[in-house]
Amino acid sequence: MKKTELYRPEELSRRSKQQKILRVLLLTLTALAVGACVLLCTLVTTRNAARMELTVILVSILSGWVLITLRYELLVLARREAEHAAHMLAGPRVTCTGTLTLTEDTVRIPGSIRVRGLTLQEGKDVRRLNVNVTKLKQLGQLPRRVTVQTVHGFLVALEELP
Amino acid sequence: MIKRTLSRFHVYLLWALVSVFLWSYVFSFLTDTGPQKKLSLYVSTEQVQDVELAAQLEEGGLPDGIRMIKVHPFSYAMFSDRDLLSADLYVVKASEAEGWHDSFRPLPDGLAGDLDLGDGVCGIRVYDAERGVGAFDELIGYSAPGAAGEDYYLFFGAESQHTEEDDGAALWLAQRFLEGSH
Repeated sequence: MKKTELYRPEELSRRSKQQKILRVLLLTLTALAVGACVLLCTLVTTRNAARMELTVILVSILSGWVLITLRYELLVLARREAEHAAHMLAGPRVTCTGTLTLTEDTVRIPGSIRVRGLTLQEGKDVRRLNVNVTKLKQLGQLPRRVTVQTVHGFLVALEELP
Repeated sequence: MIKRTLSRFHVYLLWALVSVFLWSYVFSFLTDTGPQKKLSLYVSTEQVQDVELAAQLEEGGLPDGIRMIKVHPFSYAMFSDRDLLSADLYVVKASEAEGWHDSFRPLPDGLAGDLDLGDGVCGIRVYDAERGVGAFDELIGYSAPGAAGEDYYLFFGAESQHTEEDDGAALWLAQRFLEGSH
């Protein structure tokens, strides 16, 4: 029987390394943007001063917008994924069996990751579960009968039943 | 992603505002200088191409210790007259000169005045309304087209930090300005 673990301890160190690289990348880009603005300031002459001031402000605004976007779209999301993964690996696991089905509900937990709703049905007993949307591909074809392990209502592992 | 980006609209807006104020200050800090290293010329007319005039006055180099020349119309000082009152040179029309008497000082030795305001304060004519010609008149609109103009005079500032007792740079600027007379 094939067992799929959605979270592995190696993932934490990989994500930690990824965050460090992103931080260095963002700091480098920030330094480049500030350096470009300072360089423009040193190229000022009496004739081009007004145009150069406008250029410096525009470079600052646009590079700032790019950096803000990169920070939120890469670094913050990576940090949230890492925090969530650590939470899942450390939490107490609950095992149960049933037919696992994806629902249409996708929501972002405020300040955390995006999750997709699942139901696990065994007879008349229906449990509502969540799964990190970045893990959806690992679930394989659904619905199907599986034994799942959950942490705080999040799917962390599933095992196919014969 | 577009939805997430739009949800951060206030962050982008805030950064734009911060950028404007921050870089205006930093730009001024990096490119401007104090009155000790700057020569300032106030021109009492609204039609002055201040940037081009300053650039033309700077052509050929500046005296030792001077980093820049600033040219402003009087209206530039509408929020603070500190800079105006400490200018090195003034170009003022004849009818207004008397009102600015206390801001002027006597001419340096070797220069002849054309308008005597008393107490040794004299102005050098830089625009002749009758002939319609003056110093840098392609950059300074001394009189409105078609209007009967007035003569303009160059005065030395009483609060200048570049007198002959200091570095003499105000006299240098006056001579550069007068070289632009027709």
